Amino acid sequence: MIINHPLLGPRDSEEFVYLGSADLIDRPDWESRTVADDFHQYQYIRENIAGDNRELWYHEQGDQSWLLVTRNTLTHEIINVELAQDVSRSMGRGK
Amino acid sequence: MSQINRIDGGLIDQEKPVSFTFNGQLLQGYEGDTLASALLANNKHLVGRSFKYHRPRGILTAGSEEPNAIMEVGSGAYKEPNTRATVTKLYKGLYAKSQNHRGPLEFDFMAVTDFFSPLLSAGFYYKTFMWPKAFWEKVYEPAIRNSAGLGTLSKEADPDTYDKGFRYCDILIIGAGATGLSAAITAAQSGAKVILADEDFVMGGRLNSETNEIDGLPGSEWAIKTVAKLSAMDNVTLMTDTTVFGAYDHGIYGAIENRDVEARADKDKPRQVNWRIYTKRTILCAGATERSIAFGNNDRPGIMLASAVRTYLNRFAVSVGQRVSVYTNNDDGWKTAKDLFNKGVNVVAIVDSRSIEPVMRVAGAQIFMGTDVVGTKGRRAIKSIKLSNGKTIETDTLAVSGGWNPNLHLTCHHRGVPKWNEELATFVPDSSAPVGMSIAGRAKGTMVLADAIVEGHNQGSAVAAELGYKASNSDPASTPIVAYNISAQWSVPSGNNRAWVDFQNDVTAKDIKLANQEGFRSVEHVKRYTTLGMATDQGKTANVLAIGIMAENMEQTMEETGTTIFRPPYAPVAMGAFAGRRRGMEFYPTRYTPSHKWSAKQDAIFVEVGMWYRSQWFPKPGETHWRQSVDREVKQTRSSVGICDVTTLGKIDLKGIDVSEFLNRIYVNAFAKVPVGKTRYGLMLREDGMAMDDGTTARLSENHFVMTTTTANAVSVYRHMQFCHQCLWPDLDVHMISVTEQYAQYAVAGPNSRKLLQKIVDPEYDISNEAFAFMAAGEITVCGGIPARLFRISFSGELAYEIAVLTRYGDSLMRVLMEVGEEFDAIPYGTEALGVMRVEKGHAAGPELNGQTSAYDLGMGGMVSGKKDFIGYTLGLREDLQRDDRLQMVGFKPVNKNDLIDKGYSLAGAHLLGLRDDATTENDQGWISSSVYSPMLGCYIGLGFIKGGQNRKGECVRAVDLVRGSDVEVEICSPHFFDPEGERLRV
Amino acid sequence: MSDYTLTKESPLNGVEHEFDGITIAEVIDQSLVMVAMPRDKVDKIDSAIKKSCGLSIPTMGHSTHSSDALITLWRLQKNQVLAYYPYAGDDAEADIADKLNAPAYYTDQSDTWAMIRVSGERSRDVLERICPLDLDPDKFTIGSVARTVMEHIGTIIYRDGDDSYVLLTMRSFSHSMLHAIEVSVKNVL
Repeated sequence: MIINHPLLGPRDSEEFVYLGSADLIDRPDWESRTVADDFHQYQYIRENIAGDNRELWYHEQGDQSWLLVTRNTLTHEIINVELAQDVSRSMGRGK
Repeated sequence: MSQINRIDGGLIDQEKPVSFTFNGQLLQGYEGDTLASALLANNKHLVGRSFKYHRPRGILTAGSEEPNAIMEVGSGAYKEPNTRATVTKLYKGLYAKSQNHRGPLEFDFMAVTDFFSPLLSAGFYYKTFMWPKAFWEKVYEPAIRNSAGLGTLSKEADPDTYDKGFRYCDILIIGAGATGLSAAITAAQSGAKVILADEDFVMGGRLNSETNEIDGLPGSEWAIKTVAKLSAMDNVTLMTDTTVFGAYDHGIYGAIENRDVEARADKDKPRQVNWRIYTKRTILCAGATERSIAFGNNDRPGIMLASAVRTYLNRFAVSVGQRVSVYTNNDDGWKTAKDLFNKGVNVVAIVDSRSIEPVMRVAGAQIFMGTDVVGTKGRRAIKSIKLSNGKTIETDTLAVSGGWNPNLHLTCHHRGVPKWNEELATFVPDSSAPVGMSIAGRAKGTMVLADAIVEGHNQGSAVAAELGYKASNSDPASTPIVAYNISAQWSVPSGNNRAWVDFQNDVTAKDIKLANQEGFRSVEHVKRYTTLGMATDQGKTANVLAIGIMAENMEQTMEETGTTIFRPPYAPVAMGAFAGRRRGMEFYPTRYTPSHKWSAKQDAIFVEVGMWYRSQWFPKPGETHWRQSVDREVKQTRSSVGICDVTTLGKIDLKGIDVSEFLNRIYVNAFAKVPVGKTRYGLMLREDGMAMDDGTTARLSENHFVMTTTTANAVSVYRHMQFCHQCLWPDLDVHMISVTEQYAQYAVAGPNSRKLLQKIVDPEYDISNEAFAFMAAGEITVCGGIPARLFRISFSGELAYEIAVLTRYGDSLMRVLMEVGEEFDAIPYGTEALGVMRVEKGHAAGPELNGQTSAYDLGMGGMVSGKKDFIGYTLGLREDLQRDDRLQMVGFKPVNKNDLIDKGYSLAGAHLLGLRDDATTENDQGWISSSVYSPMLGCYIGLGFIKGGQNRKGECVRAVDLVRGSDVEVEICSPHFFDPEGERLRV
Repeated sequence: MSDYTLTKESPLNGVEHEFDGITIAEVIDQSLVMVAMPRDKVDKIDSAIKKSCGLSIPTMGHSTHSSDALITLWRLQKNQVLAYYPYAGDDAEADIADKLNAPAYYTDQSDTWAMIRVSGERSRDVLERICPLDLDPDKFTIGSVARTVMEHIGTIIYRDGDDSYVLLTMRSFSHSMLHAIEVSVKNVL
């Protein structure tokens, strides 16, 4: 597999480590009234997507950036690769 | 009897004889021969016995699809079974033996199985060896293994070496026949970077086997000229003897380059190179493979595919027989008759199953149209054929052509499904080929050479243009159009004679019929029930024929019957080639600590910790048992001073204005207010509330921290921290980098550790207990100005320090510490003593941080802050994780101190049971996770988990080890066995 | 004056091997310092290093040189550069901070990495056995730098000449890396 790194271009998947769903970026607020449910959902509940799946990969043997990779689980086609920190910021996360 | 079948010409060098050995007989071939062609030149038709029935078998093909001529090549440890003679380049001293016979090849004692063949039909394993069940492993299987099988292994380690490599190109062209060469030329002329790979050791494909004329030259000469043109271009890489065996995701291809001949000449050279080829586009020009026709006794030596007869004749200058017959269902088979005739070989008969006008006339040959071969005679070599019109014809060779199947395997490696083409009577690739792959020539079903050349030519240019290169405007090579007409013919009614479909697995048309009758209708099921299409040839000559027979049996179309799934590898790949260099000590790289050289000099025993080599203990002269060394190291450290290399602990340098806030969010305890010059112990959880790692973090200045992690988790903790920073809080000003290798770090532990260090720490730094108290950290200099970091932290429970210097000084510092330490009898200690001391102190480590333990389970609930969010906070609060009856970490010591002493093993792994409980899973209360002999307490002690342990101290239970056979009464106690108040580390 | 002295050593003791068309040699007395760039200070750093040394922040995968050609900056990550320059002192961190005079965070990495130069006309033939990156001379141009994995060892590769590449691996792996290169040479030559 090859992941087209947004900063470095195509790199072999051997350089990367897979984590899981990109939902993990959206870590709930610890002071929310529904915090227990929120964290349960965040940690454990995943859609088993047959199609375009947004997932986190870490470029461990490269620039050590976390990437949000949109990959089709049926064809392995990689549709999009973004820096997770950019996505995180665009979701309103910062400090 | 020397090469009696050799004729003039061919693409071999008849000036250069090459000697080799087959079944103990010294034979001669020529340079450019394959093992198969050299055997045929020497009139060796019988080259093996079949897998199941031990039928005599001869060479069927001239390529990688060969089912019969598979041999043991090489001797001693070099022996490799199942080597296809048809693709083995002949070299001097090649040593080959035929397979699957007991006794000589000509008189196989196991051939008797052939007469029991009615008992050995499809599924016979399943039917025959059902009962009694116990017999399978001890009687049936060994017997079957002994009588069947494909060659034997040397049972020695493979002495050959293998390598791998990575190559990149714009366009990979697979197959260097007329189509591939045409594609390569236009692709390369456009400027694209091209790799042209061919499984043969000579490029040219079928051009080398045929008598085509291209651009006014013999095909093989045109190929040589074209290859020369390509090899002169900088943007072209030619890879001969290289089989592209698999198509993987995103344009990655696996290819094996065979360098047998080189490796035989120089044993240090790799025998094969496993290439990973990264491509933007691929053009598959893999050609086609001829198939046979199933008729009675169609497997005798001397019955050969018609195309193979031409290959041996034209390329290798071998006439496989003197009186040859041809049996075909298509025009192509007639070429064999023509080529033989032109070389002066007698063609006695041409039998064509089609009721059409003869394709040509061949002087001296009887022609039978609308006729089939229904049987043959001759046990070890064919003597005659019987025709459907009742005639018998004496012949010494039968060339059979059942038509051509495109080599579309690679198009299906991403689950592509071929489609049926009625006109060509074969499967052709459909549009489901891997992304980036296009197909040209006969691999696509373009069977007419002239068309295939144009197709290759155009695709090479078009694919290059797609990639932005300027299309080539050259003209395609020209060759006369030769039609290819075929009418499918799968099997011929042959009475009681068996008609073979899969030669390698001894599957007959009747076996397939039986399988179908017994309800196996899916092609995948038939394959597994009959073993059709398995083993080294993967049914390359058999599968389509079998599908044709199945379709007839079940009265359905070829499309409905379908093919089995194609998977890599396309052709067999030696396991060694996948292992590559990763053998023995080179399975993984080795990491050495800064004190390694010194430790090796002390005869340290090393232990692998991940990739690291760490000193496990340092035996002194006279010590004969590891425990003697370890007990001494512990006692000496606790009574004076010991030194241990702890460089392997992960060290992460953190800088930035938000680092303290960041640490506060990843540790359960408070880090926001750690003062400069202090170290704090920290526990990290996973988000699910389970302990992930622990370590110490020192604040060296306002915005500069240095963290340690456990050796095992150094990489994963760093990754986790990057996740937290980049994904969760990207705007925190935190910059982290691993400094694990930047500093050599030694633990200096024991009551004399300060005195020792004071001798090397430069005098301007006060490290007295007052100035540099427990948990202090600071940047100092040693030995006259060498920068160092000093941390007053203790894993041993003693007054202890960890001192770090730039790794360049690591070896030297170890030597200096030992030299300075002489007056205190300082000793080095290894990971065993380290482990003993940590268990004596009740520190959790790897066996306790096992992914199932919360901070509370580890007795560290008190550390958990309730005033802040941190990773693992919310889910760690879940009710079930707080229950009193969870498995909690506590200490265990034997009620009778002498227990296990005589046995010499610890409590580790023992399960905990009530005093009167039976040792059953239901009664299991927990287990001992870490256990050591404590020289300080004079008994074995352990850390472990037991239900509600923290409230059960003082209670006695049993530690039962059913594996080693011990049952010891133990008392549940505090895990802090030694110096429970921690007085020793604060002095 | 201390009674004891510490002596330094390079990871591979300055190893140098010559083969037909290939030279393998440890690069010694070079320092490597990580220069971390806070997000809001990148522009300031860029102008500061221009002023102090005539440097600029390189684009990803490339390098820039100071006006005296001594300091090379490598860009392997978005928010940091590595300063690679001849310096054998123990205080490279302070030294480069002083030289660059830019509002960045500096962390010495000189002892983290072992550096091996592979040079000669067959260098790419040797490297293609271990390096998964495309080293086509027109693509991985002189001055290109990348971090990848070779033989399971995290490795930085920097092209510092026509046929010259510097491989950096973590110091503890240096013997394994040297061995890997030597095996490649043996297999290829």
